[in-house]
Amino acid sequence: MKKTYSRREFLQLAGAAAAGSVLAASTPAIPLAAKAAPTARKKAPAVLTPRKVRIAVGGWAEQNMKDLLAKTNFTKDTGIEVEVVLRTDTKETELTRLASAVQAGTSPYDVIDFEDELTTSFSQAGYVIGLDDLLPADFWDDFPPEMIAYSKTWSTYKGETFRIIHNWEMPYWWYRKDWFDARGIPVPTTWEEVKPLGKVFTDESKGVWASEDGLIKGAFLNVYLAWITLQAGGNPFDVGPEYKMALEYIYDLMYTSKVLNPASLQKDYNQQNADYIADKVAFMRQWPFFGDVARSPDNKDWFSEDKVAVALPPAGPGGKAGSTYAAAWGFGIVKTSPNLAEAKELLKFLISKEIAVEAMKVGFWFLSARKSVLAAAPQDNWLVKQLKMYTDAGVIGVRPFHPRFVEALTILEDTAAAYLTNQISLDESLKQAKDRLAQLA
Amino acid sequence: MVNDARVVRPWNRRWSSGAVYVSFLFFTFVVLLPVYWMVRSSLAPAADLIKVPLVYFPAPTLRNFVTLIEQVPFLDYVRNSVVFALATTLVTLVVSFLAAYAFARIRFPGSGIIMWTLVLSMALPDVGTIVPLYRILSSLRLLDTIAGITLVLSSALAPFTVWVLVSFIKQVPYEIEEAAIIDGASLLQIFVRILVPVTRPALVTMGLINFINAWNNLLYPLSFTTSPSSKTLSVSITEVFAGYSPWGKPWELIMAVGVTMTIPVVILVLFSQRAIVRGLTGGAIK
Repeated sequence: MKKTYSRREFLQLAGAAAAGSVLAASTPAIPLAAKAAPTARKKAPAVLTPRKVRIAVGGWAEQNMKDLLAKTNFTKDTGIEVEVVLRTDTKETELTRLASAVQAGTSPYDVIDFEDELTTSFSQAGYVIGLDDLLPADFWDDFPPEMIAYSKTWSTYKGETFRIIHNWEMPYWWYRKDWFDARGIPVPTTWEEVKPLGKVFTDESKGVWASEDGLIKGAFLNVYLAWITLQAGGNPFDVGPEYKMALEYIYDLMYTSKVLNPASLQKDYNQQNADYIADKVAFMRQWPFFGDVARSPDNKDWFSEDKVAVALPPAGPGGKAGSTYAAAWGFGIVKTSPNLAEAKELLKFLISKEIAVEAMKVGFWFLSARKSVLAAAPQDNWLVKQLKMYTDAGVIGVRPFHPRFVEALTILEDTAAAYLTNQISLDESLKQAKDRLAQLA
Repeated sequence: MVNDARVVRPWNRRWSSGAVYVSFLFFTFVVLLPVYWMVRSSLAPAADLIKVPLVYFPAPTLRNFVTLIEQVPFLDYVRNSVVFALATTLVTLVVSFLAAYAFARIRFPGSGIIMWTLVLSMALPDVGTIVPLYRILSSLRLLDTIAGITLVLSSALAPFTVWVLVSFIKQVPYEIEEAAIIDGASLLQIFVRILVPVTRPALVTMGLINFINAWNNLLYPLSFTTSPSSKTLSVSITEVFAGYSPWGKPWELIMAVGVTMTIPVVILVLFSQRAIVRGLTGGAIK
């Protein structure tokens, strides 16, 4: 006879099944063999437990990291298996991911390759551990003063180092040497020498401008504000006379001297690069990735070395020492890492002098002005040449810093963009920036 | 005189229907333009994306899709997305159907309060639940697994599904169930042979909505998964890169991910159009 179930029985059955599933899932996963013989599990030798560590890098560095680890036999020498996982490409998404993990007392990875903004957030929030104990006594001797000054500002918090940088790059001053040569014009070396170039190169009817930048809000404009204010000799977040001078200079370049395309305020780096390659720009500030873009197969018909020449940036009132600044990426260890000991071993390995050199040979993502790295780099490479030119000339200042960088840059961008698009006066822009930054403090 | 005033003149009718058609055309244009732009950008060389004047019809190329497959473990992500979306849909429907039946048919103390608590939980912002969910998944050892994100998203989708299904089940006359009980049917048989067929439009609609939600979900896979064995296709939007540096934004690859994610949804919706309409309108009629 067929058994029938009452509703009460069905609900009891379903409830029991659901509760059973949850309990089963929440029970620590013990291997079957261990369940059968718990004593055997207790006595298992420690060597059977594989040592693992996870390192999170951006997609652009994944293969480089894998190649480096394979080439240097890290696993073979230490017995630690390294898994390279991808981190996301923006600070916001990575912050979301790691914040929830750390607050839950764990972490999806042990070591992370991260940028300036995240370093500020992570170190202040206590998400990463201090690394000073891991560094050899002579570690910083291998770094030039500019990198040390940079690290003290951007990689430390309350005197403790939270990130060891391996990538250190700066905006370069790219220019059309063929255009300058054709007109017999020297490269400008000061702000004042830049202004007359509007008359030389800008032809609005053809959409050609002496200069262009990617200044859209969302951290692009802030880079330029910081760059120009540093040239003026100050930090934009102070909203001091140097910042005022920088805004006046940018405004002049846009509307009086007609050097800088005002449409830059709606452009990102992709559009800026595209305009340069479309022969619409005579010179510009841009990160080194433009060199790769210009040399890519897509642009082989356009490319020639004299179209992507690099010179030192025109110096501002602050002098040549702050003509540009560098930004960096580096390694840190998550505080709630499930494999803390292994993470420390991996980090010590990656930042050692020998491995830093090997890393650079694997890929220029690991290129910096670290003495041993720069000395071992191929000297005929365009990027190495540019890096040497800038470091030798002593034009690299420290990137302007604010302890609450992301919020502060939004304030500067909002107020500066309003002035540069003629919505408010300079005084009003400065007042708003000052008031809002004061509230932030 | 009064009757004359009510007569709609032919030219007037033509004019008003013409205006309606023009409005529809305009609306369709507004809706489809971004879709066209996404498809066009996914098939265009990167350089054509930002050219001025705009290139409306670039020479199509599949290179962006090839690059996408090279940059991320594309097939793994597609497989994970399919498993995640199907599992979420199934779990949500089964759990919600049983809960909806209980709410619709069984009178127990506090049922109204529980139902409204469930409905109100929909107002909770997803991002606000991430930390506790992370702790739960961590203690269940379900972090970085498809089972983990399925459990989490199913629990997030269940309240709405229950809410919709309750109204559908309430419309089914209880007398039918009583007749079945008299004929000796078990509760399981009543579910399978009576309630499921009768509420099929609602189940199909909710299944589809839940599938699309799971397929497009970024927050949970982004927060709770790390390895290629559990990440879904939506996460790849945050992982594609331009060149070998973090500076540029690879819009052409982002659009290629967008197209890849849209195609299955469009196909599903096209094939289930009739059921969706029945499902969406059925619950509103008493």
